[in-house]
Amino acid sequence: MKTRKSLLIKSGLVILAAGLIVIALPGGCKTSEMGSLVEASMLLSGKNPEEAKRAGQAASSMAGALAPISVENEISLGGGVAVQAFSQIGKRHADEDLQRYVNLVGKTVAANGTRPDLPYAFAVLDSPIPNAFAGPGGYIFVTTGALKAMKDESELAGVLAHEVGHITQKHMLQTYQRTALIGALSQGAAVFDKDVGKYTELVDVATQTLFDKGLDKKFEYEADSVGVEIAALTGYDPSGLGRFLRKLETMTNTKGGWFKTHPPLSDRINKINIKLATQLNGVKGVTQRERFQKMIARLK
Amino acid sequence: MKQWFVAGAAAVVLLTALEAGAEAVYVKVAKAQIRDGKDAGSPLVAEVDQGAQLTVLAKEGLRYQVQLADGRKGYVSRLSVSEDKPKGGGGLGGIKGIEDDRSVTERGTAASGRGLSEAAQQMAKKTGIDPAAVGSVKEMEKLAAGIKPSAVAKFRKEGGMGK
Repeated sequence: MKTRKSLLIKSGLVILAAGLIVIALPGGCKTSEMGSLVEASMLLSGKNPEEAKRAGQAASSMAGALAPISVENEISLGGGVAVQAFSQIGKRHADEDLQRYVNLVGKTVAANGTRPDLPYAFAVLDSPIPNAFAGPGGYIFVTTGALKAMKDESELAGVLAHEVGHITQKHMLQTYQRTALIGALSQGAAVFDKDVGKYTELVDVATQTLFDKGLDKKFEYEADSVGVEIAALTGYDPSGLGRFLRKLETMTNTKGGWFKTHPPLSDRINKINIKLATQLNGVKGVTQRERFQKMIARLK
Repeated sequence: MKQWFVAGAAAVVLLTALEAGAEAVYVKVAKAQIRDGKDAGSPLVAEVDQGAQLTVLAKEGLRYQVQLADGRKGYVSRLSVSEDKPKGGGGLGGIKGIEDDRSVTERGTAASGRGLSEAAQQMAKKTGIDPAAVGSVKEMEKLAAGIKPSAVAKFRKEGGMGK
């Protein structure tokens, strides 16, 4: 009898906590406040402080997963990822004309994505490993190793459009939503200035994902699909990304970069070819080989 | 006189379509290209500004067949439109002729001057990251923010894109 009563109380508390989350979020209750609310209710019901704290953290995390992530936090985290990129992957390449050129290609494709108002910024990193990646909020990187493997501007546009695709589809933010850290992201950016430890943890999740583990495979396929579409919409030859991937297949320095963190190249190339043959059949665009070669000659 | 007649007819067509339950979508990219065929290689009908309203006639894969405010029909990438009405209201106009130069929204680069957050700089300090890495992010942001939409439009035009 006592066990049944206890179960009823527990069920009631869970329903109460869920109800509070549903009611409070649209009203602007912060995720941390939600956690405190649930923690307090658990303490009142006679739970020990440890249990109550865990329940509060779970509620806070759940509330964070349901709340929108602010753009200012996304950009702030992107800045942290950018710092780590220059620290861990490679220094910023010294040629300002080349940096400007990559920014022009990047901004041209980003304008055709679905988040054209983000403050996109592109950088060339000095690293022989072919790689490109996007931090949250519009920070996009490509290595000198990747640029040297490309033949024309449509290949560069394809790669940058793939990265823009990760940002427009909010893949890193979706990755965060699978972690217990999500609660902090739905609060104002000022929270990071007060809690640099939490901020560092969040940046670490992003850098480990981007530099070591890789995003979910389905995100990579989606970024390929969106990227090819964006390149086509911009007016570039949409086969640029696929051609670059085929080039990577033939390269011998396959340690790290897109080889390490992305799905098998053959799978990606097949999916891109299917898209080109079905949804973009007959689409032609510019390759701008001459303009690209002129810029890339500066690397040799 | 003829122009007024065409505009009136277009308005009637649009209102009839909306009353019949046709779905409205709104351009969410800087410029949406409306083409007369389903693939991106088809001739360009018009370029439509961000926020403009289009009437969906059919959804065909990644492309929507749409009707413009002036009655013209064409196809648009679904990536370029949203079912959500933009804040401040979507317009029915915003259509430019295909000879117009494609430009990029000013907002995209205007927001670029945001700068590296205090948290990022503190993180670098506390974790012993070389200050040069912080400096590189600042240089990256400065260069990007300094590229005006007109420079992007010029680059695009010189590249022969959107023809």
